[in-house]
Amino acid sequence: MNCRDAARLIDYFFDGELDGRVMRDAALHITRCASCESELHDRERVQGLLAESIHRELDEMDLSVIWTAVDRELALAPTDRNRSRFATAEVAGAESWSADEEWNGAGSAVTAPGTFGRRWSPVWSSLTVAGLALAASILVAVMMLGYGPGKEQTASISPPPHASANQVRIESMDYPGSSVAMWSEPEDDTMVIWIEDDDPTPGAGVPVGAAPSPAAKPAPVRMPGVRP
Amino acid sequence: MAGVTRLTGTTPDVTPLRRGRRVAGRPKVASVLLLGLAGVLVFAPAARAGDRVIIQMGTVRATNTGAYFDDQLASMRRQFQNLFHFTSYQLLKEENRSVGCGDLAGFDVPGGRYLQVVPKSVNDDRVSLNVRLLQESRLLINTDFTLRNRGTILVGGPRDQEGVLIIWIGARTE
Repeated sequence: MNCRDAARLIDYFFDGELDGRVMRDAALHITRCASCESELHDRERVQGLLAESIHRELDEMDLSVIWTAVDRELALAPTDRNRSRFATAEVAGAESWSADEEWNGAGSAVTAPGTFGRRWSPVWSSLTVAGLALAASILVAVMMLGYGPGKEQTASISPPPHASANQVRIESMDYPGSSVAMWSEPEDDTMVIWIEDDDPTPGAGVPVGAAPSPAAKPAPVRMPGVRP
Repeated sequence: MAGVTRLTGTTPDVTPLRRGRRVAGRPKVASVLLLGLAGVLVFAPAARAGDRVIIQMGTVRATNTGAYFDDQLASMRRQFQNLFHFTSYQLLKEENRSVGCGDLAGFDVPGGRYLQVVPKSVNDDRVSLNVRLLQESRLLINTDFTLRNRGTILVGGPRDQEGVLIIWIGARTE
């Protein structure tokens, strides 16, 4: 495999979508080619940043407010869909009105009861802003992952290795004298760290207690009998 | 008059300053609640740091000799079959250890290996661990990771007889 082949496959490799043999060939090339390895690092970095950003947005959302609002409206909504929507607007408007009255006294800036503008309650406005921010983050993620040199087909976005879709988040790894592969099975939500000892001679590795190196990217080397 | 009353330190006047501010005495209650909340936020992490964590560890020998699946591994059959291609899986040992955050849990692993697990913290239903696998005086791997409470990670690869070892490491809070 050469750099051109690797560039064509690197997104699929990153998403773990290649079959065993191609995956192994790609891994062997990418881990030995500084340019392709750098490409892979770029993708990891982007994915990490996106995951971090999305998690931050989610952490900041007060989801308890959603359920309070949903419960309240479910209790009040009639069965007919259109009527339900209208009734919901009425209820939200009425609450918006009373809330503004309490906070601002006169409430002069609020549209009169019964008009369309009253649907915009403070609760829903904050939720809408949060929802729009989340949607924008996801859109940016989709756009950024879909862009890159050698990208000829649209690859699906798999959950990032750092995301909560996988139960494990690796913070650092040091494996002196060994090769390490990591993979996970989303169905089982289990991550595997596979160590292939390059030098089984006792005492050949780094002495115990040596300072660990910073987070290192494991070389995706596959073992016989191991499913990629 | 309301302002003067407050300055002299007597019972605050409950007359609203503006329409909508209904009870002027409530800020006291709110202050107490806020202080309580702040206390919880300040002291909760310290309390969590003192949590005890049960480290679960098991060692399985996986080979391509014969077709055998240890009954004791029945609950992990699907995971092993989805993740690996070995034909035989035998449980060699299983051990649980309860340790506090920052304390070391050490486990002997067949083949002269030694597994060290140190729970570092427990936050938001996730347990942060440092795991080191040693072979005699050699460090095979040293990794820090977080996993969900009651989550499991598999560390495999060390050779053992005609197969390899697969070690599962789990953590759950007490």
